[in-house]
Amino acid sequence: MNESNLNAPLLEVEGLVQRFAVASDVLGRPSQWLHAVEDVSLTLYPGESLGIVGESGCGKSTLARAILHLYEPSAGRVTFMGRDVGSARSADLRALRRDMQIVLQDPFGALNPRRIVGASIADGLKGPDRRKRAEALLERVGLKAADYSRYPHEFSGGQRQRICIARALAPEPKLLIADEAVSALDVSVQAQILNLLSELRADFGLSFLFISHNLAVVRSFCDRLTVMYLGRVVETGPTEAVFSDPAHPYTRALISAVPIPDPAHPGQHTLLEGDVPSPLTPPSGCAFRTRCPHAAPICAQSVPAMTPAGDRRSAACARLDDVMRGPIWDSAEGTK
Amino acid sequence: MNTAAEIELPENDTAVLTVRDLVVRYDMDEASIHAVNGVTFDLAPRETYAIVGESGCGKSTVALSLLGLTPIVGGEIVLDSARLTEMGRAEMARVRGHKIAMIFQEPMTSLNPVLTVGYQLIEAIRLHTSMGKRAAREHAAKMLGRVGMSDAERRLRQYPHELSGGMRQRVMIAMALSCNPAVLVADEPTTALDVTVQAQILALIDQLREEFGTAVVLITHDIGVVAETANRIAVMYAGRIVEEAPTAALFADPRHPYTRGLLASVPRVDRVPDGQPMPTMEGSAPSMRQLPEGCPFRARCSHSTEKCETDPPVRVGEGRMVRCWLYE
Repeated sequence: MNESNLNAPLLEVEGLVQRFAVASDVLGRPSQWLHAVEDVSLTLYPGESLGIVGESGCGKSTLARAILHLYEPSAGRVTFMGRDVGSARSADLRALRRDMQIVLQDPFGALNPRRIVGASIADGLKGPDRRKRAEALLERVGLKAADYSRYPHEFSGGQRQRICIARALAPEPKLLIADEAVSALDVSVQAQILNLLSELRADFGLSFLFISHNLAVVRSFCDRLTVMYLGRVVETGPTEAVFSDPAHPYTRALISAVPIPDPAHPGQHTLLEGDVPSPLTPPSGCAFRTRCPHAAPICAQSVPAMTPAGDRRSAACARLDDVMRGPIWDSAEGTK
Repeated sequence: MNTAAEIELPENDTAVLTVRDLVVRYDMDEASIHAVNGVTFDLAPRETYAIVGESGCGKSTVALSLLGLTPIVGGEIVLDSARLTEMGRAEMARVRGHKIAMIFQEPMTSLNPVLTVGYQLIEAIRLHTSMGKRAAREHAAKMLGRVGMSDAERRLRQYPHELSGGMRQRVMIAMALSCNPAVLVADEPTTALDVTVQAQILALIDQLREEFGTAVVLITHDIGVVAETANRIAVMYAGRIVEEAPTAALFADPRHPYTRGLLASVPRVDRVPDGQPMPTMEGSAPSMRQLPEGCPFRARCSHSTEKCETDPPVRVGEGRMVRCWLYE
């Protein structure tokens, strides 16, 4: 690999829009759209781990599926390893997808209950000695070679997630998309799986698109972070910069809402009013304005553009200069 | 089995709810699931008592047992000097929803989708009070106001699917508190909700606990939630409480090796990560169909010795309890 390749993005998403028709008129023409992803752009460099955070319905899982081209995008472009995913034909697309694998939230639904787990892993392998290599993968993710011939129901949730990870690793991907991959696991098992993913990231030079609603997990795992709200990116930047001084009012509210497992350093919650609006009828202008403590008439006029917010960050807020900044946890930060 | 009968808890006349030596077993076709194996605790008035633990530890079974919804095979539950464990079905049905009420994780499946919010609220109120239709409707509207739902009259006419998850949970809370119960059992009340909505609901439960003077039994797997809302915490493992302590004491000085492992494996959103692997407990909890002899945590415990093959002793003092051979 030459120098320029190292610095080229592995994945580039430009202006991606994903809408779904949810109702149609008598002639079958769509009459109502669900705006799942609206004008999302992001870049992922080789070896990097990018976190996508946001609450349910913010479009983060749709974004993952759109990147894998499981949907035909309404607009925008996904470029993976220099190739346009949207224009790839079936054989090309299959080859591209070997390089980008996904691990899902529910390890119970993700494995075929009628097949031994070894067969599910060997499916992704090419060439000779597939059984031996599948066994090696099982051992690499902390299981035993003998587990090859066992069925999914014989494993616990954490073990099944290890199997899903082994299966994702089989085609030797460059990118692993983890869509709430540790969210269904108990906290002690979650820590085991996070450690495993960190090791694999170092050993295989994997890049991660790490989708999660768990901000604490994202802070421990990701180099950079993208915050979504109602289908749009509201803030993006290096993880530590965002956590130590969030710029967008939504990012501030989201981070401050997380309960802190330490009664000696309780959190200072900024309570947001109301709920996330429906993606069927998103508000005009800034989607967050209906809950934002800083909302002003200007926020209803147009969708705010991503603007620099210092420290290699950008945020989409018309009132960025008026938002109170600074760390969320004065007392706890740094008291290790 | 080392059951809770051996534990000498300080005699507490003021406890609104006492649970002694509770044993619950689910008989399946080929095996029995020993879900709760001797659980004892007291609930003080207006207190939030949290039961934490990982999936399958029996915490939800304890919650359901308090409402008489499980096959209890041993022990007793006393609510305001009434022995719930000796009540018949009809008598228990009068207590449930009246003296003790429950809210669940999934507010969508707990509400009937084909009936309006108002119908369900008014039905619950009339079932347990002598209120007439009109008075019950007024009370229902007032309750919706108290759980922070504006435009109560319109809300009463709405169906559950017209409400967001957070609003549905508010309706459940309004229904649970409508008869002013002595005890509210909240089983993972915010687990299905987004974090910004979770913060609203937790604040609401705490505010209403003060206003109504209700004691809360909070069942959760979320260590952050208990740290911020509980007065006392019980840590459950394999159907037993392995440690109980006031919240600040438990976090400052966790004693049971499982509690220590559990607290250490929680990632912190308010800390700069140190780049080290997260502390973990190897393995997983034993099967509740076939519990090992002695301490059920011993296979995963770094302190385990031969002693642990027999039941660990219970040590009580300074308002806390721990069940481990380390504190013999």
